[in-house]
Amino acid sequence: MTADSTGKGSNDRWERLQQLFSRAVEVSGPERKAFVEAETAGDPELRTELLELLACDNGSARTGPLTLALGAALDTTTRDRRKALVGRVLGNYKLVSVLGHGGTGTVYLGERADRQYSAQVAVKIVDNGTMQGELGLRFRAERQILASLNHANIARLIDAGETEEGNPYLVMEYVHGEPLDRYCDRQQLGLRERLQLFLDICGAVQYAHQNLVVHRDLKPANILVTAEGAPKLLDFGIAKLLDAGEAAAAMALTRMNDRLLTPEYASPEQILGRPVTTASDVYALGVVLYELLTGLRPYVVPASASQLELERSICITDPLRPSAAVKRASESGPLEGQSEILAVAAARRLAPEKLQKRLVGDIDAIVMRALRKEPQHRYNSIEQLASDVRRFLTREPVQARQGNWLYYSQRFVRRHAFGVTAGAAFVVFVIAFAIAMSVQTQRVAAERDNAEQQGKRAEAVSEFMLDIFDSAQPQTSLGKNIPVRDVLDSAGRRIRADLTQQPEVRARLLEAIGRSYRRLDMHESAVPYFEDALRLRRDLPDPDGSKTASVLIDLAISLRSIGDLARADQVLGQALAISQEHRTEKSQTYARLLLNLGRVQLNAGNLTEARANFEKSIELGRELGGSLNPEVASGLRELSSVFMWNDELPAAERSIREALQIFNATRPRGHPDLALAELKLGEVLMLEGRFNDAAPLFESGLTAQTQLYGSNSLKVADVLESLSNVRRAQGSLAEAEEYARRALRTRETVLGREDTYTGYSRTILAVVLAKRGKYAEAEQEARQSLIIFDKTLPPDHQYVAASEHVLGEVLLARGEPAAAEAVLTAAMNRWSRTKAPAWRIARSESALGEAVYRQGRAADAERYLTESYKVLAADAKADREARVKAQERITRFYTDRGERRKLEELMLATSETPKAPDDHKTSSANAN
Amino acid sequence: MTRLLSAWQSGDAHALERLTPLIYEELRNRARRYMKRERPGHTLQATAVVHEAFVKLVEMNVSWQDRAHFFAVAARQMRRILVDHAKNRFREKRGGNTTGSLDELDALDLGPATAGEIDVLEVDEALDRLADKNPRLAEMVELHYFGGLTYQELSETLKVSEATVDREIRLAKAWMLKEIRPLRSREPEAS
Repeated sequence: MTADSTGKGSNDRWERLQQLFSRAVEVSGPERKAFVEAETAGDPELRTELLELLACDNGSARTGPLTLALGAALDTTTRDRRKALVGRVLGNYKLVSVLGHGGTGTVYLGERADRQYSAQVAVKIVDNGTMQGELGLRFRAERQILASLNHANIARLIDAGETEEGNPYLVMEYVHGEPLDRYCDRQQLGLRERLQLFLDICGAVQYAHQNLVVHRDLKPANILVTAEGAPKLLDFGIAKLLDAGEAAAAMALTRMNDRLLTPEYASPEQILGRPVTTASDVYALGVVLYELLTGLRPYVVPASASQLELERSICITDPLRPSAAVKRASESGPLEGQSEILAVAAARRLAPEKLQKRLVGDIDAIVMRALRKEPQHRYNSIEQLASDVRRFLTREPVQARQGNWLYYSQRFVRRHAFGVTAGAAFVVFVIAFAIAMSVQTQRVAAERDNAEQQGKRAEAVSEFMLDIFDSAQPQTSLGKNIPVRDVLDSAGRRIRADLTQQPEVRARLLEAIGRSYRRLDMHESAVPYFEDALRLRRDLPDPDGSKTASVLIDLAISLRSIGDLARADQVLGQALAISQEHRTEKSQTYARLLLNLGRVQLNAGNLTEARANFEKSIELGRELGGSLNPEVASGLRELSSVFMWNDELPAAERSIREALQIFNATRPRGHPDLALAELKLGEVLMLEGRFNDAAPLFESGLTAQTQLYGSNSLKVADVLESLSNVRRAQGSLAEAEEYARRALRTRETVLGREDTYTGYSRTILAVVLAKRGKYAEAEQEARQSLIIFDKTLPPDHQYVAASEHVLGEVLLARGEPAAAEAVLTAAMNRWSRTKAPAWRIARSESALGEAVYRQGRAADAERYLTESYKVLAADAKADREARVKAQERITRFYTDRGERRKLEELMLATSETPKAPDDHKTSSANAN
Repeated sequence: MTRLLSAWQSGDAHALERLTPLIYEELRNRARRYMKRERPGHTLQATAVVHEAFVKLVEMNVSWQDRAHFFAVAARQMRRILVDHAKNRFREKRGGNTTGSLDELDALDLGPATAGEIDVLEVDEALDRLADKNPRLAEMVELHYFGGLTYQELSETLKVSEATVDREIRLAKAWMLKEIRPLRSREPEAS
């Protein structure tokens, strides 16, 4: 420790250390060395300490040795404490050894303390949840019910109580056995034998259900098979017992316990925290059956995926049918974490093709019925599930095959009400509906056909439908939406060409196709459909004008998206006229109209009018649909854009947070509205300089947008670019470069090499490369971008100026002041001609001063350097880095020339600190 | 939550019941943040320790002025549990093998008491030394590491800007590592 460890001296010294440290970490390499040496001249002790600290610095990363040390301590503490309980006596039982750790606690092997019997028991001590008051009463009541369960295939609950520390414990029959899946594989049971065993399990669950006990956590690990081949179910109702009630107070605890369940076997309702019923056990048994037969789990996510992603797929995506899963596994090999399909089939004494064949049809239908997302669409009871399995075994027609495809076509549409394949969803549904209708008519017409033939035809249709759904699954088409667009294109063409349909139906189909294109971000394709629909609507009855107005709004949205603001404005004008004519200014349609009017105005740069329309739309939306109205949230999101443009960041943040709150309550996870709002919040936070808060939003936004639009999409490129900027600001330059490169690649793929935005991406990359000191590469990127802009932009465009500025800085760094002077002069003049903010002009001017100075023209240099610094120092909105750099330049200039006085005068003249919007910014600005 | 806390203070027994799971979950979530490495099972094991910290908090019957106070007490409690345990463990090892060779085997099974280079006792000592230099900063670090508060929460709780929190903790981390590793290699914290 240093000499002055107490008193005021210590405080000052720490302050000084903090100040130097914070500034030093912002620069690197020789620059940092020079900084430290300059600042600590005459205080070697301070210098040593500072250098030592810098050597231990970890950047902004938040996981390091300290965190790891604490994690390890938590681990060992917990484990040791668990072990310490061995030898203790609970009730009549003594804990002998640790059997394992479960989600909610630890299981010990126990034996009768009085040695009256030699019976061994399993004792489960629960980590959490003290049993106080009412909770304790419920615990005891539940325990009574469980203890009364008496079934050969259910492990009995013998006793329960509390440890001295107040942790609940349960004493259960100790079962010598092997988990279900391992037992079946080791015995190489065939499908028939596995199904027989499954029926025994169903019997036990059904018995419990009749006694009003739901298991809640069925999984192979909880189903042991004894040496005699009898299944024994463990932990019956334990999850519920630990919940002990539905009191509001217990809610948090309940959810927590559910979260600790093995998520692979948890039903959607459990994951969503909704009421758990016998239907949840039906679902879990469906998963067990799936795995028992295929050796695969219905939901496969990579090990690196978070629990959240797994939960998401359980709640949203449909699993592959068992036969399709086997087929996929044998064609493309096992996915991460899956068993080799050859081994799986061998354990069932079958070849993979044979296994797949056996599963197609009945088994597929049975399993998929049990696995449906909505409890009410599954089998009504375990008994029904078991009956269907029995029917399969006796070759009778199974119930599950009826209505399966209709269910899945509907689900398909619901699931893709948003997202990548929204267009296809609609088309598939239309086709499905048409086929269903035609099958029906055929049936009526062909009543004398024998039943078998009819059945076959219906079956063929349903297989066909299920195949369509399968192929449209993101996981099988690997996120490529090209086939989806193909489907949409051909369906669209057919509908446009088919003039035999009723006009009303035709209009609706056209509108739906247009909207599907819009969801796929293909606005250009959407326009003709809306136009056709509009023409039809004009001749159709529309008493309140709302249908016509809706199409007009749809058309305007697409027109705005392709940049035709004038026509969008005009179309919205027509919609306004219709609404006023029919006096429907108090409708959702009108709120939507105002919202889109605002959007067009925002795009056109009319901020004041845009704001007024957004506010009116929000107000109307609230009046009509209450505060939890997604339309209101959309308005708030747009409003926040207006605030951002006006630099009113606190207001922008407030609006977007409010929007996010509404979307969170009204939109499912992964909905584009949610993702968009989070990204917007990220942008606001970034502008506020809160990079660490912004970063996670962009990270999750990247995942969301990739899922929604595929990795090759401009929306993804936008997020990548934001992430690059955030990382740059956080000082993680390698990552910043990586993101910038990915953004560039994406734009290049989507837009081609010679597009303005591809060029812009190159500029961004050049900035990062320059920051990393890779000047040669940076120069190349900047020059490339200028070549692109030359072909795609008018000469006086701010993108050109920005790129020239970057090139100029890079050339300076590469020691080519003459070349730098040329581009920087061009940049400076271009900024002024494009009416850019003064600080941007000054930024280039300052660099120009440096270029001129290096060529020995001191008088010019002084003028450029001082003028530019004055502008930058006075403008609170100026880029902080630019200000620092300009200050460094002028300081070096005067210091070199021995004109300290002039420097002091300049600093004095500019010492009026710019007024910044919040104190956070001020403090960082002052630090320079 | 603050409202529930004060309701409890003013004698509303029912408030405790409603409060218990909330505080518990809060603490657990905080503990979860230690487990950035996301090794499965970590979260679960944190549960027991956090639970213990909570039970002790309830027994201590302190008055809860506000969230900040609550966090401070929780963080202190958490630190004590972890440090006491590590000390005992250390003492047992030093004191020779008292319970027979089976434990030795178990100890191997459990793995070393530290992950990476340093252990919680070193963190604890370094934090004490930091408190001599700058008590306010030490408190912030304790809240962050042992109370699990994020920078944003620290900024709200301590009423300073997040940038300040970031800046100060960054220095504190470097300072503590410097104290812990006077003789070890000067590798910066791996990220």
